[in-house]
Amino acid sequence: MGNGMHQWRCPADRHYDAEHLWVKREGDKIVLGVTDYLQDTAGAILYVQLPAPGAEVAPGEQLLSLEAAKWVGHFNAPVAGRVIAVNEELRSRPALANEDPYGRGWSVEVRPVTDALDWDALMTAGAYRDFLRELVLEEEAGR
Amino acid sequence: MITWRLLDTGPRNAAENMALDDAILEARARGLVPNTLRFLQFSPAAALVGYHQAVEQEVRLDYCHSHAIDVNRRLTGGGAILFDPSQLGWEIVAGRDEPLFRARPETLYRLLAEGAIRALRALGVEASFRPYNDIEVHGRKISGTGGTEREGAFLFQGTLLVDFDVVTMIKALRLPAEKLKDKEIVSFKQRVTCLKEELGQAPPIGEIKAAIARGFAEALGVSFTPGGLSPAEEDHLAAALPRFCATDWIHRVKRPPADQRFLTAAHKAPGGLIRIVLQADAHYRRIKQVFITGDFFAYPQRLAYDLEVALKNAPLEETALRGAVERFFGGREWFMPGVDAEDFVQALLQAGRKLDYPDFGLPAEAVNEVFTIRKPYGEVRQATALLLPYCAKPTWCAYRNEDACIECGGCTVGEAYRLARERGMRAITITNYEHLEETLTQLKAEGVESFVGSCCEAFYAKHQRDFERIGLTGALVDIDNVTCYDLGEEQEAHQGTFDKETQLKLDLLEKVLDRVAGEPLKEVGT
Repeated sequence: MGNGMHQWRCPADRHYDAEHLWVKREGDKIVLGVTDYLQDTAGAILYVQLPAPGAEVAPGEQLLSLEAAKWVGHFNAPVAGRVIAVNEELRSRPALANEDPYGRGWSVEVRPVTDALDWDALMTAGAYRDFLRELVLEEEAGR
Repeated sequence: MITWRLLDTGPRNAAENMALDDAILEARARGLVPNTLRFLQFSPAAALVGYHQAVEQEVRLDYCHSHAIDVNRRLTGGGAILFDPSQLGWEIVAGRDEPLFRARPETLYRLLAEGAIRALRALGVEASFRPYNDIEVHGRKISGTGGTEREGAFLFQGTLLVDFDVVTMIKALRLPAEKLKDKEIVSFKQRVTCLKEELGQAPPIGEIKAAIARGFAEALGVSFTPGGLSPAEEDHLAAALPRFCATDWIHRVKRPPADQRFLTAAHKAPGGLIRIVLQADAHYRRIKQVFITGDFFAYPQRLAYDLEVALKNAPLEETALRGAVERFFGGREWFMPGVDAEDFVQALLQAGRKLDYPDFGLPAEAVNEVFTIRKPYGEVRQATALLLPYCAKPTWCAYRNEDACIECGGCTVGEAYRLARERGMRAITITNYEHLEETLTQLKAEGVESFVGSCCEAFYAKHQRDFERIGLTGALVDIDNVTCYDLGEEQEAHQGTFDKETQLKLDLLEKVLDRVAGEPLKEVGT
């Protein structure tokens, strides 16, 4: 396994999607952010655009965007619900997503419409780690 | 071999081109169109900001409006650009599901830039990739790139400078060249090149497009078939166009213009002078763009240009800046007699500290007109002497070459004497360089903590090391009008025989005196 695969942390207390968002349940709300893989491979995160608290979101709709090294990434909401909080500190200091992606670098809190989130559609930490391994292998093969 | 669509949408206005990006990316994300190489051109010229930028900070709207230059926002990231009809845009819109395109951004950039690099080489230009995402020729940028993605598809675009209208660019965008001086124009020209300059003349546009298509075909291992817009894209274009013409899109990001600052510094290293012009984001406290010039010798010649690129987006904070500069110099071969990495760190820090000068009562637009010796401005305190240059006295003044003034009201020096007197400070007219050395040495021996002075930036830069050697802390205020340095008469001025009159910046001098004069001052806000 090349390329420091082991270096990306994938905490077991949350789920992941293929766009490299993490999703964590906290009571009746979920907290979202970008993963260690994303922040590491994107490089210094320069801008983060977050939704307005109170906004209604639906799957397939943009939840947040961020920019690193001239690349703009858009992230869609994994679930229908209402945005109940956004990380204002991240808005003014986007580097937090690089420094502490699973902690102070969180992005958004959403209260999902009841039972709207299909946890099985997301990856567990183990499955996400396999997914990353796959990405790295493909990248190495493509070189 | 996989076949891609080759799409040439011809010259269009900015809103159409942006709406087309949206249409093609959306159609590709929904699997309605094949992977595509598009050529895009702009008519009229367009000032385009990056996805997260604020127009007011990046674009001179008055100039663009009065010169029929479109203003719009890209889907992609990066900085503002002027896309004029002489430039050729290329972009790849493809599915992210293919293994080749699932790589991390860094790998993807290299791969995608490779097509354009091969094209340039085929045209006879020695182009290379410069991380993160520039294509350069011997250190000079010829193509900038940026990208975005949407639900399994991505768009990666670049501009190729066929010709380069530097003057219009400087007038249309807010760049670190406020005054459009000759040397600012030269500075930009040194950092950017174009096909016309590299090849003596610009090849016909058809030839360039053919070379780019061949370059991408080779780099990606695909073939191209010319095609038009699909009905889905045409429909999307028609539906999306009003949105891309609307203020809600173009001015979607709003940020105070004051968050954008231009900061300058001059640092005298043993091997020469390093000048810094820094475009800073005051909110995020980081460098947007930096120009490094000076009279030091550097090998390779492109060293400063590459350092500028490496410092893009670097935090304006000492540890991070030092880290970025040391990583840069640690990773390459270089030779600069009498100049080392730390000199660049000091020059950058000197400029960066000016971000905070408004906290100490200086207007943001005047921070570059105050120079300091030994300490940052915020730490210069208890000044009890005011040193003024004889060149600010009228040529007819009987006291021009004397350390005296009768405050007759005939020049700015008399006013400065009054300001000093009102604050219990000693005012001294400096009549030549030796007099300055003697005076500073004497003041230091008397136990004076610091002084305020007035001189031009060129004098400060030239004598920075002398000031440091003498060791008296000070704040110096720039002077108005043409100085002896502008006129090439510094030798005369050094001896005290310069025969023109300069003007002190009295308003600024007064603000500086209010902050640093006399008794210990209270901190701002207490």
